[in-house]
Amino acid sequence: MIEVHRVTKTFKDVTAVQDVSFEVGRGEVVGMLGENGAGKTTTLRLIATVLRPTSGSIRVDGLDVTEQPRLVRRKIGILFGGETGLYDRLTARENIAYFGKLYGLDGGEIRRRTEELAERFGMTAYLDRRVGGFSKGMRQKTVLARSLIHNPEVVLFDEPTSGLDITSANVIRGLIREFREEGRTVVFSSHISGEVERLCDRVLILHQGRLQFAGTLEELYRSRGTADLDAVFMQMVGGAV
Amino acid sequence: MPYLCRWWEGRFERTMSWITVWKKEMLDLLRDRKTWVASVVLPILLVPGLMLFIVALQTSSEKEARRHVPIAVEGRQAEVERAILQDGTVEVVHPPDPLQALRNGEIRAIVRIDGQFDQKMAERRTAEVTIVYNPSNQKSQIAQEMLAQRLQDLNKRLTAERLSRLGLDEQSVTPLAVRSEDASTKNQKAGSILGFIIPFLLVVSCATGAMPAATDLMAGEKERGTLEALMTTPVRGRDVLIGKLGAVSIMAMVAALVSLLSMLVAMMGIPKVIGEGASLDFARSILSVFTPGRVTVVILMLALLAVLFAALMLTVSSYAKSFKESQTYMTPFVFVAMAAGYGVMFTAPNEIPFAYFFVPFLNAAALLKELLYGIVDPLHIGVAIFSLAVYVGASVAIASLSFRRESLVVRG
Repeated sequence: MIEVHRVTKTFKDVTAVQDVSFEVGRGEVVGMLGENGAGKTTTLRLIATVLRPTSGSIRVDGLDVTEQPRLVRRKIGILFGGETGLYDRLTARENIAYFGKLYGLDGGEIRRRTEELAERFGMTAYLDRRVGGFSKGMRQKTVLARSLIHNPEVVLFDEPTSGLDITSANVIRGLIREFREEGRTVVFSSHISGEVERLCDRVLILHQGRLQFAGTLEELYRSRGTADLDAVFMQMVGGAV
Repeated sequence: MPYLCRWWEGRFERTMSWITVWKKEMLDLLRDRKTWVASVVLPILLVPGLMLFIVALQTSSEKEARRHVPIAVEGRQAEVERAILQDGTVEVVHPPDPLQALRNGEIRAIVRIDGQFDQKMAERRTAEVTIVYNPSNQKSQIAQEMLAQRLQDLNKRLTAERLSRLGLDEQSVTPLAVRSEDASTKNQKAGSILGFIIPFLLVVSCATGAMPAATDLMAGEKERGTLEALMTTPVRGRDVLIGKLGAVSIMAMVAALVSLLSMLVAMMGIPKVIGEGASLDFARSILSVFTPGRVTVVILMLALLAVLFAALMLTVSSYAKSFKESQTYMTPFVFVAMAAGYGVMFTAPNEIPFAYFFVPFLNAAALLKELLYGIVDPLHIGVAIFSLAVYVGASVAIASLSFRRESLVVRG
């Protein structure tokens, strides 16, 4: 579903991602582990066509991200963690509908999908309230609904649980499991190893812009001779345990 | 045929996207009470209110200055004193140091009468009467005018007396009667008053109207992180930019038109405040300046000016790291607008240098001034509109270039 081939991304004199190649199969859930600044967000942005690779190529469902970015975007839903942006003066429904329209959905479809997502995330009660007064959890759900309005085949999550309380973080984790059942392809970055262990089919480990490992957890544990993901991670990034 | 269909679909979709963006931005701005208060409500209330208040204050202080005029008199002469004091508005007081009292504003003027007044009169010589006043004090100036007028009347009477004693009348010593006549039409009079302040007001309010919207729609969106989310949708950067440009331009135009209207209302109210009867006449001549043709040109020009400001401000705002930083970056635009306004404020409408019509912002102010005065010069209109259109094209191109930067979306 996603083919990343020898991708390098440099910003001025900083190389954020260097010669990274990996593939993600249809319906797979892949976790991306790495320290802050390891290149996780940049990699996700490259797949999402927000950034263009300096060299190398990326294909999503056979479509090249630099040649057909708009078609790629239709297939991708992206959710960035941390402070997620919404238009405070619009209602939750208006925020979601705006993106729906930009994805080219018609009014009826937007209404239907919005109701569906609101039901799923339990946000029907405040769907028509302005986002300005929302709590963090409510905002998170609105952002989720917004990025799923076009029913994307591929979902990219950038540290989706960072800054969330336990309940909200669990909602996200549950959602990733549901996505697997629905056959969506998910790539998510995290620095919580437990989360990656519980949710992923395969892991990617990034360090200083380079891909250190790509494969299943079993393969990783077998090659390192331990089943402690934290220890493996620290070994790989060169820190002492 | 299928190709044509796809082409049409693509076209349709593209047109729709910028409209989608524009509609959302307008809705967002319409709900932003702060922006509306700053760019529409405040000017409506403040401009006419402030103007009428100042005029009323000035009028009443002038009336007050004429109602009671304390002065000091040095020297004595019954006839002069009678002439000065005729109706009781002027009162003679006796401060210990009249000059100091004048400088302190306790009295408005000192009248010094020639010590040999009567003797000089008898000998048919000229006697001096000096009005000492303080030009830095407006009330003293008014007193000087009043006193000079009264003494002039006395002078006339005394001259007539002397002449009659010589068996002459006034005409025989006045070979020339010089009079000045006002040849301006009422429209020109109204136009020159309007042309003084309105170009300045329109250009500046266009800038101040666009500022909050441009900041909110670019730096604000960047700061909130919605811009990155927006760029992950299939919408083209160009459509986002056009939608935003449209919204900011409309805010600029609305602000300019609102301040124009409130200014006109204020101007029509001025004669009433001053207490002149001809207020309806003045109002009518103000309105007659706005013919449909001129209004069309003004609106077209304002639209171009609004897009020019919007494109430049969105570009500048896109380089700001935060909302606050963007607000700081916006300040120079107000100076530019003010410079353009001042540039033509004191120039006579029929003497505006041709080069002005090529300079961005200044050409808008210059054309406005001409139109308000009733000069409709197709060359000037053409040059101003065409050069503005060129600047708009260039600034939109710059805006779309700066909108294509990756660093716009990616923070840090």
